[in-house]
Amino acid sequence: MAEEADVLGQDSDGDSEEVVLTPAELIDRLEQAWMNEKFAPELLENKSEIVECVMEQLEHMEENLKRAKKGDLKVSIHQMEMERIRFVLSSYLRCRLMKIEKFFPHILEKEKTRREEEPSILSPEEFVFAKEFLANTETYLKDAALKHMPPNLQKVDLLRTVPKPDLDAYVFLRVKERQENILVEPESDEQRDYVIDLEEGSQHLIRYRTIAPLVASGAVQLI
Amino acid sequence: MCKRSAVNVREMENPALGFPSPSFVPATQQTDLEDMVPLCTWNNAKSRGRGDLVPAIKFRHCSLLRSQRCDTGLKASRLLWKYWLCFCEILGRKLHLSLCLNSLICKVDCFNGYKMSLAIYMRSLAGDQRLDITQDVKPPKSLYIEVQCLTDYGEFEVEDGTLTHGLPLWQHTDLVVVVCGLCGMWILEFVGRSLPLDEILSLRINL
Repeated sequence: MAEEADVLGQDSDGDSEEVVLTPAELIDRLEQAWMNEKFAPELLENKSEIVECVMEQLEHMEENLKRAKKGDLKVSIHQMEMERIRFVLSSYLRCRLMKIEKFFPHILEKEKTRREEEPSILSPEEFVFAKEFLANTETYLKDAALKHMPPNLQKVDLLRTVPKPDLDAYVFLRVKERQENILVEPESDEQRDYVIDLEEGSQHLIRYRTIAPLVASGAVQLI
Repeated sequence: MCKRSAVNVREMENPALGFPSPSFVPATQQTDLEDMVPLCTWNNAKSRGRGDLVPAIKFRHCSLLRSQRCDTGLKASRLLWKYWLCFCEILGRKLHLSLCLNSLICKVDCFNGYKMSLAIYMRSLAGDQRLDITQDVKPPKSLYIEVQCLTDYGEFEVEDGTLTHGLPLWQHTDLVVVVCGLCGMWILEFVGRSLPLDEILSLRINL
């Protein structure tokens, strides 16, 4: 495996700079991104730099394996490792695609209305996929259902009809960095909002909406 | 008409599996679409100059909108489900056949368009490498390797008291190598003692 992988990260000023990771750290980040994406009800920010680095690492591993002696014990171990990494990577990408397919009008609308300085939640490839998915779905609905309906009912507003992600769904999380004064909004009118502290290493079951910014910053890990 | 549309949407989900049944074909869907046209025509005709019929017209319009939502929702859900079956190795080939036979529910063109988008996405992601995200659907199994023990270590028993996780190596010994695929740790256990990988390799184990 290549000794280090360069991943584009951001320093405190918000400028992009390269962050050097070991392969173990890179795989750890991939697994964190995978679990967050699996358990979050909405589509999270894309981690295309991690995906690219992991694919480079897989390529290096494959080249090393081709050079290794046949029957070497280490070949089996590395092949197993590669299968694990490939599964995690494929599962992560599938999870993202499924969310794009489920919430495509809202995701594309958010992409259209985001400001320049805000990071995109879609990678360029995912954006192309989402646009084509929208076009395919509109064509299909028109051919299969809408054109058979009366003229004034032949249009459907996908933004209104396709459900939004349920940000009030409850999620399990583990706290990686101590957080103070997290405001928990009430669920009903009878309750009042209150403030909690999240201790490092603690685990909680909480509404996703409350901790969504912490997931994005990496302060908590969804489990 | 509205009741039929709502019932179709509810019946679409297979309660046993928790998702739309691929073979579900609502017999009344075509009837619903046909019923909408005269209803809408009546509404348009009566809406001019008849103030006393406004509540009825509004009610019928709401019914028509509800039926539109149910029918488009039904179609979209089935389409989404058939897309997700792309990722199912077992049903992949049967899916295409069922689509051809069941053209009322899903057009083959649309499905082919989806597969093309998916292929373009995978190709643009991987570049020269091949990354097929419709494969690797299940987590990799734990790896078991068969080893030949050169030294007799006596009887061996795994921690849970069973030998189901490994293979007996030698006729007269019960030395078992267990490889945990998920955590990547190699454990060689015998008589309640565990060995790290370096020590295993030093035992002259031949594959």
